[in-house]
Amino acid sequence: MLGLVENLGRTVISWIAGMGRMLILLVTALLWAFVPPFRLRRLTRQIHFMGWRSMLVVVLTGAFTGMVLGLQGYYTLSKFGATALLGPAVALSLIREIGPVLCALVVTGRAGSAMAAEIGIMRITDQIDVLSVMALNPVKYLISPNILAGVITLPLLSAIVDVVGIYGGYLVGVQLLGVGQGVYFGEMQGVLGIRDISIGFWKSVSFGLIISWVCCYKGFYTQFGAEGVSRATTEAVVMSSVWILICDYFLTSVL
Amino acid sequence: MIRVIDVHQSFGSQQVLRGINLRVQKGEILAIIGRSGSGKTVLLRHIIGLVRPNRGQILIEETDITQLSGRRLDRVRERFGMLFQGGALFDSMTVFDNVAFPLREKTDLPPSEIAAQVQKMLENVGLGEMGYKFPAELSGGMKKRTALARALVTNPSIILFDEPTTGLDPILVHAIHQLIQETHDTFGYTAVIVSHEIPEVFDIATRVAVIHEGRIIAEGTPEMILKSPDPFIQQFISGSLEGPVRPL
Repeated sequence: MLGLVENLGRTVISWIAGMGRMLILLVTALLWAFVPPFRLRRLTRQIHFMGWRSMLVVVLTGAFTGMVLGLQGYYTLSKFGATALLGPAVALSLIREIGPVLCALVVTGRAGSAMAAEIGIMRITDQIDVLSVMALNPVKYLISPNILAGVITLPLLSAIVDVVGIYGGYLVGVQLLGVGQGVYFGEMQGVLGIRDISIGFWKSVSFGLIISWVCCYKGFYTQFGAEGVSRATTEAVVMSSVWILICDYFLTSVL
Repeated sequence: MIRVIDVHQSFGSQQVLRGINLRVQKGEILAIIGRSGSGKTVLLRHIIGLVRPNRGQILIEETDITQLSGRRLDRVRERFGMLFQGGALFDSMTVFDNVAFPLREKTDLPPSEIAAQVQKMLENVGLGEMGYKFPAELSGGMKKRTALARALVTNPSIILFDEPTTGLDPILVHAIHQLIQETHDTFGYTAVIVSHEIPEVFDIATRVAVIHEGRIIAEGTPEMILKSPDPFIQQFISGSLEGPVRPL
């Protein structure tokens, strides 16, 4: 019984210590991001890596999600004779909810895992210590640009998912199922407000922060060789995905 | 130039350093030898402030780096270069960019001047034509030489070598030692070398320190260490299975 309590206590303390370390990493990285010299080249490189190189998979995700929404939306709305509302239904679902979440999950799988693995390999091969030896702060050099890149890139990618998804819904709803083109876009204009776009925007900013923060943290504190990198990468993807879904619920309640 | 005073370090229940005392003179090449797991690399990491001791002081010209952090520690580190065991080259950069990296990050030199200095340094280590290659395309010896060029390019006053010849064939071991000797003579840096290459490392070392079970048990010129009556040192130098230490 005492052993059980001891184990439980050790687990809780280790979890709290981990959370504290994570928070310190985030605060330090954010503070360093605003201290010169600004590493714009590295920031641009990371935006290119997270954004441009995720473009194909994000466009495919947006297109097929929009098409599925068009198909399912038409089926559901036709039961109520309200197919004219297909445009707003697709747009609202994408912009407020599905666009930011799916985009974040896709970017976690593609870029977040690579980020954790890259930093993890740098850790186990002493490349991070080399930065320290050269009197370069590894948090400023590695983590700050990644976190900024996540926060900048995710809203842009989410916007692309939204636009491509709306045209995916258009393809199915208007071109295949016969909803009027004017109705599809006209109703959308009437229903969609700046508040909906703002909700989607803040969600994607938060998800961008979560992905880069969690993945950088897991990579930065990698231990025990190749197996450690593999574990860190898996944990980074799982933890980011779960946090994105939990955060999505709370943001939907609050915003 | 460097003084290590009564440094203790433990990781969990494992006590790695048990009161290390060591002095490194300016301009000398000090070799630290000892069995695997005796704390050599950990000691080197303490000297450059990558690990903070549980107890003790590390003085770099009278500045106790165990009390420093942030930019004040960085200012001390700017005088160091370090060659890591595996080279620790940035694998996403070419050989040229690896060597140019500290100059680009830490100086305001124009690109043409950086290119000239890097090329000269690569030629010094015999890699003048290899600048365009990536670390994954290099042999073990080339990686070590690239890492040496990167450590030297900022002209540091102290360079720490963590097993610079591990995993290399005997000819390359001699070649790297010769390179360290030549660059030491040219640039006049103070060197601390952690090595298993015995007796080869004695050819370039000014002094040798023997570390055993977290303590320095002997210090002196290579000749003194070779003639030491200590049975552990004799067993270690000869690589004999017979002696006070059980190999496994």
